[in-house]
Order: sequence, then C-alpha cells, then structure tokens
Amino acid sequence: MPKMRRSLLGYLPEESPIFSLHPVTKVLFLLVVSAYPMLTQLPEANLAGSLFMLALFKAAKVDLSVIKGYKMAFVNLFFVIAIAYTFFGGYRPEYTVLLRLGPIRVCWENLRWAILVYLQLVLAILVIIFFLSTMRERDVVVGLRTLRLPFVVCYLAGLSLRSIGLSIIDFFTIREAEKARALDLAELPFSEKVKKFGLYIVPLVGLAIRRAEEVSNALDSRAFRFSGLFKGGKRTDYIPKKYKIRGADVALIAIMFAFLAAIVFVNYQYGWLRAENSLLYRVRFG
Amino acid sequence: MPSAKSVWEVEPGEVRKPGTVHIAIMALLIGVGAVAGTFGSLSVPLGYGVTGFWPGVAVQAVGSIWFGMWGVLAGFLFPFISNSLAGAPLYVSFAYLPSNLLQGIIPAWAFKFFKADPRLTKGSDYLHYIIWGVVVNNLAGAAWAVTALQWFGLITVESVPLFFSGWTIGNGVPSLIFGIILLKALSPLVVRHRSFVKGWWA
Repeated sequence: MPKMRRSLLGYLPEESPIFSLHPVTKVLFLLVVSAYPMLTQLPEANLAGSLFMLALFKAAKVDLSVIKGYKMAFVNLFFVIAIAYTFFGGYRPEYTVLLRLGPIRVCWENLRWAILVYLQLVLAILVIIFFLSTMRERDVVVGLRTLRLPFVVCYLAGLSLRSIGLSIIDFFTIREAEKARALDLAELPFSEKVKKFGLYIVPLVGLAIRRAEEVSNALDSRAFRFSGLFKGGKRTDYIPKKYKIRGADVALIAIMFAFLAAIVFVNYQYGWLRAENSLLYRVRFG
Repeated sequence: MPSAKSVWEVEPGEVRKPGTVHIAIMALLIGVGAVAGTFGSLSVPLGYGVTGFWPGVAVQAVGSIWFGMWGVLAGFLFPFISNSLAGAPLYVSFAYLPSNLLQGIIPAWAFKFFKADPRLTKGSDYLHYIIWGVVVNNLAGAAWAVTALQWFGLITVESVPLFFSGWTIGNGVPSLIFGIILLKALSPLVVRHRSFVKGWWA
C-alpha cells in the first residue's frame, strides 16, 4: 500500500511527480490553463485538451475514481445544455430541422452549439478537478505567498480551506447526533432531506461564530494584529522557505504562458480556434 | 435589552475598529458557506453552478447583515470554492462574482439604512429582510448571472427565463426560510458579540 497524502479532494500517492513541483506552479496552472477553454471554441481542440488532461491525471497518479465522483455532474451538465439549446435554442428559417416534437423543432445548428459548449466546459471542469486533486491547503497558502500576496490574504485562504474541513466534521457530528435520536435519514423523502440538510446551517454558523472567538484569541496571543492589507510588519515565512522553485517549475510556467499567448495570437490573428473551423460545421443533412 | 434602533448606533465612548476576530469570522463563514453552497449545487443542479435550491445564499445575506463587509467578502468568495467543488469551471465562478457581491451587500445596506433590527423584533424587520434579503438581492444577482452566462455564450437568449427563474427561486426560497431562521436563532447572540459590525468594517 503506497503512502498517501491528503489533497483538497482526496488522497494522492507520495510518489506522485506532482509533489516535486512548487505550489506556485500548481496555482498558476489553475489560473492560466483555465483560460484555455474560455478562449477556444473549436471542439476538436477542447477534446484534445480533455484527453491531455486525462493523461495528466494518469501521469500525476491521481486516482481516476475522483473523476467518476463527478460523473453525475457531467451527465447533468450534458442534459442541461442539450435541453437549453435544443428546446430553448431559438429557430431561424435557414436552420436544419432534425426532429419535430409538437411545436418544438430540434435543429442541428442548436445541437451543434450544445456540443461545442459542452466540450468547452468538460475541459474547464477537468482542469479544476485536477487542481483540487493535487493541491493541499498548505500548497494554496505557499503558492499565494510566493506570488507575494499580502500575509492576511494568504492566512485567510489557509484558514478558509481549513474551516471547510472543520465545517464538514461539524456537519457529520450533527448528523450523528440526529441519528442517535433515532432519525432515519434514508426513510425521509427527497424534499425533506434537502430541507433537513439546509437547516444544518444554523448550528454550523453558530459553531463558526464560537470558533471565530477561539481563532481570534489565538491570533491575538501570538501578537498578530490586523493593520490593513499592506501595512503589516514583516514576518518570517517559515513554510515557503521549505519549497524551492526548480528548473522544471520555471519551464512549466513558461510553457503554460507561452501556450496561452499562442492561443490568444492564433485566435485573434487567424481565427483558427473559432467554432466555424470545426468539422461539425461541415456536416450537412439532406 | 438594547432598543432596535440602538443595534446600529455606536455608543458614546465605544471604539470600533477591524480586528483579528473579523478576519477569523470571515474565514469561518467562507468554510460554512462553501459546505452549504456545495451541498446546494449538488442537490438540485440546473447546470453551470445554478441550482434549484442553494442554501448558501442565506449565509451571504445574513452574514453580510451581521458582519458588514466581512460577511459581504465571505459571501463573495465562498461560491468560488463551492462552485469549483460542485464542478463549475473557474471562469463561470469568476462571472458570478458580481452576483454574489450584490446578494450580500444589498441586504447589509438595507438593514443599516432603514435601521432594521437583525433580531427581527418587529413586522417591518421581517418586511425589510424579505424585500432586500430575499427578493431584490436575488433578482439583481440572477440578472447579472444570466447576463454573464449569455455573454460567455453558455446559454441562449431563449433559455434566459429558465436560468433566471431557476436562480431567483433556487436562491429566494432558502434565503426566506433559512435566512429568517438564522436571524431569529442567532442574532440575539451575534449583536452582543465583538464580531458584530455596526458600520461597514467594524
């Protein structure tokens, strides 16, 4: 059994090559690579990007069951987009009608646009799942600190991510307490379950207010003071000193930015990544 | 027991300035909001992070009423995390930022401007919450969100009513139910807590 390290979305084996990268590379990966699908309409390019992301998951030794956990999100998104574009996609006389369902015309032009949007979103979602699967709370803080963001912002990011974990623990404690009082959640209808989960906000917020007092006292006792975003005194950054930016980090960051610049250039100069250049636009019916 | 008007009034000699407690409360609200928001985004999804039931909006509205700009900022930031965890692309989360800002800042402004009591002691306090914390803020948020989705080419003009109503109802119902419960249950405690914000920052 390989040794595992916790990430924001699960666990990652210690021998994953992702751990040899500096956290700032991973933070920049999210910010830069997320822009690729936004700038690219060409479905073939987004499909290639998605396949590349899957290869990256494999290379980083990320458990692919993480993606399976998002299966319903992908399926749901497909249906929502398909319905939004086929039933609410509008109609023009030049459109090719594939199917008539009463007053509704299912047109190829709308369906084609739905496929384009879906593939764009699949790539964007894979990028975010990869980021969450390979980042730890500490990585986010170190990455932001390396980008020279103010200490208070980095501290806030770290504490916020930590508090998600604490809220989830509180959430399960509340559920266990309810189960101990003989509440059978499995027997509740869906609407009741949704209402019940929503009501957990009250104790969760109450616990957060109580915890804020403890955190604030801990900060005060360590002589931390809120003096604005940029005015705070200089403090030693212990954890970021443990990380080194290596040649591989510099090369990867350069490649990411170069690729982004190339996408912007070919898109605005030549329009190669526009939807009209897709094979889907060559499909003709009748 | 302080009068309803006195909740927002700074007492003579009272010194109020932002402190570590506000940083802590903001971070912890982001955590609670992210959990509530992720649950909502996954429970009745309509796509692109829009959901038919989003309890996170109650944290946005109520947190902003209690903690001023700290609550507004928390409500502005946590959907970023909850949308990401629920599988919404980063640029869609960016596009929603103004919506999330409006959903918090409108009720916070209204409660201060109209001197409404967050403990909901009078009928007018309920009315102010329903108008500004349930209806106006969510209509404004939905208007921006569908504009942004359409601007990105993710939805068609014809599907705007579907997403607009999904956002407004999906936010309005939990905002009404959980917001009022939160205000009634926790405001008496919060208004006496040092994290309570009478102005915008302290």
